[in-house]
Amino acid sequence: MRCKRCGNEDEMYFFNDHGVWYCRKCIAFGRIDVGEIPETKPCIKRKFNCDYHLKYPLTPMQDMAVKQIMGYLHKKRDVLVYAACGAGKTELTMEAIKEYLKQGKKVCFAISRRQVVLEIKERMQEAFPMINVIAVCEGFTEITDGDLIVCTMHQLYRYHGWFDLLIMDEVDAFPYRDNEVLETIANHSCIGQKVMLTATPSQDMLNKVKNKQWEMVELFKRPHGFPLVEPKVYCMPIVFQFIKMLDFIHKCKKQDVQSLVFIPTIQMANCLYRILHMFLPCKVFTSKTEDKEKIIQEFHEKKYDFLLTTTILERGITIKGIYVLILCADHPVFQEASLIQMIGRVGRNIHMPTGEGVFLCKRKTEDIRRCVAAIQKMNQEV
Amino acid sequence: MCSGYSKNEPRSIDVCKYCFKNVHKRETIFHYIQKESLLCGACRAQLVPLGKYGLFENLKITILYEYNDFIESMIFQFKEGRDIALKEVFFHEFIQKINDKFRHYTVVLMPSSKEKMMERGFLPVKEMLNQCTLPIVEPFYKTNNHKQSLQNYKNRKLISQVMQRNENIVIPATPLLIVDDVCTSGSTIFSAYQKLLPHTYNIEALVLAAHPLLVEKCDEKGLLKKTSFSIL
Repeated sequence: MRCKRCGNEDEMYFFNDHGVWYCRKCIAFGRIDVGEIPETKPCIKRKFNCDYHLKYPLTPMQDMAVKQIMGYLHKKRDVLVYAACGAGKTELTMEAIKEYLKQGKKVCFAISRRQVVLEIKERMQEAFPMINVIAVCEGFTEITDGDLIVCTMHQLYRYHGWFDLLIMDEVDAFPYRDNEVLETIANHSCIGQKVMLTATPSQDMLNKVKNKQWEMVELFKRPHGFPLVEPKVYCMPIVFQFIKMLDFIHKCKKQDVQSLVFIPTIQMANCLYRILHMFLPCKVFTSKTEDKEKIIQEFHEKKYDFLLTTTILERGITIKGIYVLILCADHPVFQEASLIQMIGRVGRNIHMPTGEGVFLCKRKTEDIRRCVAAIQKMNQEV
Repeated sequence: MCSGYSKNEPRSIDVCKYCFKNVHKRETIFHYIQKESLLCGACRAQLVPLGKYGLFENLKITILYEYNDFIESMIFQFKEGRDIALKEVFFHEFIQKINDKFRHYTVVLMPSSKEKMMERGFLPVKEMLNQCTLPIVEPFYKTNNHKQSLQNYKNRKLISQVMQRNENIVIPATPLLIVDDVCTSGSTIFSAYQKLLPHTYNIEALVLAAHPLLVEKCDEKGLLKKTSFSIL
């Protein structure tokens, strides 16, 4: 017995309803009976003779990475793009999008987080003004077809057998990482090539490259040529961490720089917000926050000095010229990949290529050590 | 009848029916000793048991849980995702007590539209009460595909026009227990109660989950009381 949507064969996940078996492993995407092929709308493909426009031209390093990616795609190979945070991964894919659209092929850009979908949609629409880019994610599911689809990984269930090119950003992030259901659904949605983007590949991904299942393209140099910001790690008791945090916020304010303060749990973030918002212009941003788009917009407009946030903002978001502080960086929720991503938010702006990243912890965990080592290694390879 | 996980039946009680994690995950000692669980401790922790009853215009309504995101997504998966495997999860904790306390009662179910019935292939609350030993009657029908959850507060009262009594169904001469899954404004249950008023026996209501606003409103008015018996 096998589910044709998620590929499940474990009988634990099958249930018999009046003689009809159905799969419960992927039930979140609606019920599908065993033997049933996932329902999908007919896919309309059109040729677009389009080009993309970037605010800044690609650097020679980026150009070389694009040529490598295109070379592998011409050979019908799947590609893993291993690039530093802020190296311009999204821009690296635009040539491939252009090429595929020119040939009348269907292209999708899939990302784990809804918030990032909306941002990438805007960036893609800006780069490709002549085509209709649509975002498909929670709250935006009325229109599901466009010239270029930007969606969350979860929404790929709508597109069984649609895409000739599937670009997946942050493949190492929750919820895609180690999620068999999403992986199978993504594989089923793609009938052509896949391009996976990450700044922190898992061992499993690197093994696939080693086994020649995927090709790999590396890019560790950011467009402005400055290295990644190495975090300053301070070990101290929790009370002193709060004092250091206040000092950091004060320092940022004096330099007229906004900051992101990462907190391990939603409860702690809310608690800190209740105290700090009485004295300082700030907001809390967690998965439970309503009006997420509004808060991000207002933060871009510099209405707040800092955001108290959880790992929800660790990836994909580009905020110009910010500093980052991580409170309780030794908390189990902050794994190596998360820490690298959070520090990667600093120095992404061409006008502010450097910045400050601070880890506050009671003790240096293995994840903190590995994060610092990984950043140093990437900086050496530049 | 649904046969569960068939070939490997014992596994169905080893894993949580909702999240498939070990059913003993984060389970309290109380639950571990007390009974066989269908949900793991982590899932159960997300349910908010209310254990309250209230008198609303002479109708006694017992509310089992507060309606929150967790119970909403579980009901959605069951009703709209047609995940029939969840049917026993909702009343499982209380079913024995319901069977004992209301043993002389007949359960009255709220109607679903024909379209929804065709789409789902089952009547949700009837399936939820799968382990209930009380007789069940369905004396109402909907005249159109009116979806109560999509209506605003004012339009919710229109349910009394949409919901009609099927005179061909004979209601037994016993006390009645009106059962519904979600209670937002109470309009559906009151409408049913009004239409059942000629019945001379006692009528009570039991809802799986009530909207927090309704609970709050009733609490303010002092309508809700903690149940003195151990049904909850």
